[in-house]
Amino acid sequence: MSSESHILLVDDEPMVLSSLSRLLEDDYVVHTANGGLQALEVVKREPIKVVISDQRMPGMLGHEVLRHIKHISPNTIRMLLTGYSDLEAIISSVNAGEIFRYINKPWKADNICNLVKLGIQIYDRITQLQAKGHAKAESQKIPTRVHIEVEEKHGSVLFVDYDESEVKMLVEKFSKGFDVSGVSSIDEAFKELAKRPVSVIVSNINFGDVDGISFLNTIRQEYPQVVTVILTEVKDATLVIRSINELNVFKYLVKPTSDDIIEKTLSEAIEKNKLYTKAPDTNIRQTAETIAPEMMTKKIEESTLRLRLRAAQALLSKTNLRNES
Amino acid sequence: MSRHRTTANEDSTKVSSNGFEKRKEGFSIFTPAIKLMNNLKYPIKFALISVILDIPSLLLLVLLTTVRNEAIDFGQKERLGLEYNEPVKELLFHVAEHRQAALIYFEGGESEKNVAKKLLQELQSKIEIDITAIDNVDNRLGDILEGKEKWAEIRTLWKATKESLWKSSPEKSYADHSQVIDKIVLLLAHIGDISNLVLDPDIDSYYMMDGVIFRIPLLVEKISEARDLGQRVALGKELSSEQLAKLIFVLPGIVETTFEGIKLGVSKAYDFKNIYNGPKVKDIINHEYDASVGAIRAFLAQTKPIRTAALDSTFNPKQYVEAGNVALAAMRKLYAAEAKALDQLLIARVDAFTFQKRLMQVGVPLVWVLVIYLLVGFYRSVMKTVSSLDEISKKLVKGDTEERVVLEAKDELASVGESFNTIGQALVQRNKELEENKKKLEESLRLLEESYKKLEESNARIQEQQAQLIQSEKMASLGQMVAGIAHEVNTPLGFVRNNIEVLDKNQRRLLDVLERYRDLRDSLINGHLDELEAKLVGIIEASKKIDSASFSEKIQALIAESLDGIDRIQQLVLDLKNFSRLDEAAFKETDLNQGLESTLKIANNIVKYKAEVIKDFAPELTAECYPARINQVFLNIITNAAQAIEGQGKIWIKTYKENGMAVIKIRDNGKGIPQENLKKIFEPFFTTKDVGQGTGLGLFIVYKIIEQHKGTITVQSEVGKGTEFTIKLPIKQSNQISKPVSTLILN
Repeated sequence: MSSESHILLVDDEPMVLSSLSRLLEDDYVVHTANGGLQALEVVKREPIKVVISDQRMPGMLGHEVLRHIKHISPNTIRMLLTGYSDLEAIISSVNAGEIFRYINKPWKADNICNLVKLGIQIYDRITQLQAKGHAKAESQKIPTRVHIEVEEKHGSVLFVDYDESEVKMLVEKFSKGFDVSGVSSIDEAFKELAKRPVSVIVSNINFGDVDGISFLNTIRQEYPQVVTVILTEVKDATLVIRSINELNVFKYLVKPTSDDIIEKTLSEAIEKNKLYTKAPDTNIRQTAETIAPEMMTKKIEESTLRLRLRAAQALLSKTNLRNES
Repeated sequence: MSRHRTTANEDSTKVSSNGFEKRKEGFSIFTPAIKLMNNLKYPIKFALISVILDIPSLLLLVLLTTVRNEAIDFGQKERLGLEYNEPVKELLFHVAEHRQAALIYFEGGESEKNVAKKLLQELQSKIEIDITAIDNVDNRLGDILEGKEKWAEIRTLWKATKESLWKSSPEKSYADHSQVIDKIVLLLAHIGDISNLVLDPDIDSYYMMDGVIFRIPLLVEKISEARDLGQRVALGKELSSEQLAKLIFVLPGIVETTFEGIKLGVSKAYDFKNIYNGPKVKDIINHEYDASVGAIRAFLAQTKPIRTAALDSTFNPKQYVEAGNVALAAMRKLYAAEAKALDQLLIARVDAFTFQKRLMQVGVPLVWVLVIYLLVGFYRSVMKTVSSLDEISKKLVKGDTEERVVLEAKDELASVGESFNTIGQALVQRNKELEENKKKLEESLRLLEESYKKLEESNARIQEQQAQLIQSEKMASLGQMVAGIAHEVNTPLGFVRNNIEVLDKNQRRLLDVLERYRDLRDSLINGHLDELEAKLVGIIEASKKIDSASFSEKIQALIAESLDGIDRIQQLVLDLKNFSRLDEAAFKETDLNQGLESTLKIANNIVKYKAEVIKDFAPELTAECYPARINQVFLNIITNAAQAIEGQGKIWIKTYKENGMAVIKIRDNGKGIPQENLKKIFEPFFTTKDVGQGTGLGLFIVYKIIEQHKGTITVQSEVGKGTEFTIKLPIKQSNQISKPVSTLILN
C-alpha cells in the first residue's frame, strides 16, 4: 500500500464527500472537490491516481469532469458514481473511453476500498511501464505500421448477431476495408475464434438464452487481446454499466448507427488490438485481471460458456489433427 | 291543405294562386238547399223532389181537367141548345107558313081558300109533329135549358091560335100568329142564351150561332112578314102607309141589315182558322149560303128600286111573294146548314177538349210514373255506386287492393269510385315499395346494430385503454414522485451506511487496541514482562491509525453526520407524506405555499441540477381544495419546467391573492412551446415526447383537477424564451367537490 497515493473525490454533497473521505483517508491522501471546476484545479495541482466523481452535479456533470481529467491526466483511473441513469451520458462516456468503472449508489464501502486499491495498482503499473518507455497508453492517434510479433492476420473482424440477415449485411458492407467474417450463434463464434485469431469482435448482446456480456467476457478471458465492440439496439443503463465494469468494452454502439461510425470504430478497434498485442500492459482490463482477479466479477453462466468454448477448441484441434494427418 | 274552413255552405270553388281550391266563403242562395240536401238520405231526397214536382202537376192536371171539363160541358150544352132549337126552328117556319096560309084563307079567293085550307091542315099536322118533337126535347132538356116555361107558353098560345083560327078575324089571327112567331123567336134566343151559345168563344162557331140563334129567325120573321104583306097586295088588298113603309123600306131594311150581319159573320167564319181541327165552315154552308145570298138579294131586289112608300110598277107582288118564299126556303136551308156547321164545330171543339183532357189525364200520370221510375233508377244507381264504393273502401282498409271493383255507373259518383280503384292500384304499388323499403331498412338496421355492437366493443376497449393510460400516467407521476424521493434518499442512505462501516472499522481498531492493552495489562499483572516491549510496540502500531487528535473528531463527525443523514431521510419521508397528504385525503383549507414547498422538495432531485428556483410567495395563501391533487398539479408543472430547460436555467414561482382567487405563477426559461401546440397541451394524449416516453395525460389531468376545483389554468409561451403557467384557484368553494379525478376524466 503506497502511503502517498493521492485520490480525488468529487461530489456536490458535502456529507457524501466527508463520508467517503473518512473511509479512505486512513490509506490514502484524499482530496475533495464539490464541483467540476474545483476538481480540475486539484488534478492540475496534485498527482491524482484515482478519481471518483458523482454523475449528477450542478454545473458540470460527472462524466464531463472525467473527460476533462482524462485530458489533463490520462493515467488517472476514472470512476463514476451513479444512482441516476443518464443513459446517453453513460454511453457517450463509455465510448469516449473515459470510465474505468461505474459504481452504483448506494455504494458498498469495501467495494470502494477495493476499487480504489485496484485503481492505484493499475495506475502504478501503467506509470511503471510508461517509465520503461513502452508504447503510449490508450493512444487515439492514427494507426502506424507496427511490426507484430504474434502471428496474426492483419486485423480480422468477427460479427456476431442472432439475426443472420443482419450479419450478412454487416459482412457485405465492411468486407472491402477489413477482413470480416460473421456468425449468428454462440457456438459458431467459439468455433471461429478457435479457428483463427480475431482482432475485433463486434457483437450484439441480445442472445436471449445467453447473457451477452457473459459471453463476451468468456471470450475476453480466453482471448484477452480481442477488442470488444458492442453493436446493439438494446439501450439499457445497467447493461452499459456492466459492459464497462465487466468487459471494459471498447465501444458501445446503439443501433441504428451510421456506417461511418462503425467503420471508424473498426479501425480504432484494430489499432487498439495491435496495441494490446504489442504491449499487453496497456490493456487495463487485463492488467486489472492480473492484479486482482478476485475483483473481476464472474458469473456461473460463464463457466458453462467456458465449457462450450473448450469444446469448440477441442473439436477444432481434432479437425486440425485429422487434416494434418 | 286548405286553410279555410270548408263547410257545406260554400258555393263555387275557385283555384287560388297556390293551387289549392279556395272556396268562396259566405252564403249563397243555394246554401239552404244544399244544406238540406246534405242532411237527407237519398230516398228522402228523391221522395221530396218527387213530391214537390208532382204536387203542382197534380194541381195543374186537376185544374186543366176542370177547365177542360167546363169547356166540354159548355160545348155540350151548346149542342143541347142546338138540339132543342132544331124542332123549334121547324115550328117557326111552319107557323110562319101557317100564318101566310091563314092570310090567304082569310083574304084570298075561293080557289085560293081551298088550297089554303088544305095547306092549313097539312101545316097543322106538321106543326103537331113539331110540337111533339119539341115536347120530347123539352122533356129532356127543358130543365137544363130553362125552356119549359116559355115553351109551355108558346104551346098554349098556338093552341089558342089554332083553335080560334076559324072563328078569328084575319087581323087577330095574324096578330096571334105573329105573337107565336115572336115568342118562338124569343124562345130560340133564350135557349141560345141559356145554352151558352151566345157566349160561344170561337169566331167561326160564334157567327154560326149568331146566324141560327138571332139572325136567321129574325130574317124568317121579317121576310115572312114582308112576304105576307106582299101576299096581301097580291090578293088585291090595300095596305096602310105604315104597312107600305114596312113592305118597302123597314122590313127590307131590317132584312138587309140583318143579312149583312150574316154575311159578315160568315166571311169571318170562313177566314177563321179552327184550332180544334174542326170542319171548314165554308165546306158545310157554302152552297146554302150562296143560295141564301142570291135569294135575299133577289128578294130585296123586289123592293129596292122603289123609292117611295108606294108601290110602283117595278113591284110585282106575286114575284115578291115568290121571292119571299124562296128567301125563306133558303133561310131554312141556311139555318140547317149553319146549325149543322155549328154543331160540327161544337163537336170538334168538345172532342178536342175531351182529347186534351184525356191526354192530360193519361199523360200526366205517365209523366209521374216516368219521373218516379227515373228517380228510383237514379236512387238505385247511386246506391249501387255507393255500395261499390263501400266495397272498395272495405277492400282498401283490409289491404286487399289487387282487384278493381267494376262500376256500372258512368257518372260523377262513379268517377269517385274509379278514383278509389286508382287509389287501390296506387296502394298496391306503394305497398310494394314500402315492403322493399322495409326490407332495406331492416337490413340497414341490422347493419347498424352490428356496427353499433362493434362500436360498443371498441368503445369499451378504448375506455379500458384510457383507464389503463390514466393508470399508467398515475403510475408515471407516482413514479416521478417516488424516483425523486428515492434519489434523494439514496444519498444520505449511502453515506450513513458508509459512515457506519467506517465507524465499524474504527471500532474494530479500538477494540483491537483495547484487546492489546488488556493483554499488556495482564502481562504486567502477571509479570510476563518479556513480551511487554513487543506488546507495546504492537499497541503503538495498532493505535497509529486511531491515535491522533483528529480521531475523536472524526468519530464525532461520523456519528453526527450519520444522524444528520438519518434526519434527512426522515425529513424526506415526511416531505413525501406531506406531498402526498395521504392522511388527509379530505377536502380542506390548505396552505398553498406549503404545498409548493413540499412539491419542490419532492422534485428537488430533478430540479436541483437543472434550474435555480426563485420563490416569491405571498405571506399567506390558502384555498379550499384537495391538497394531494393540488400538489400533484404543482409537481407536474414544476417537473415540466425543469424538463423544458436545456442545460441550466431558472424557475420562478410566484404566489398572491387576487379577487378571491389564489394565483400561482410558475415560469421557466426553458425551450418554450410552439404556438400551434399551445392550444393542445391540455388535450388528453397530446405529447411531443417520443412514443413510450410520455402518456400525454399529465397536463390533461392537471387541467381536470383545476377544473374540478372551479379554477383556471392558462399558459403563455415563446419558443426559445420560456413558458409561464398561471393557476387560479378560488379561495372559498361554495359546494364541496367530491368526484375522484379518474372518474372525472372517464366521464
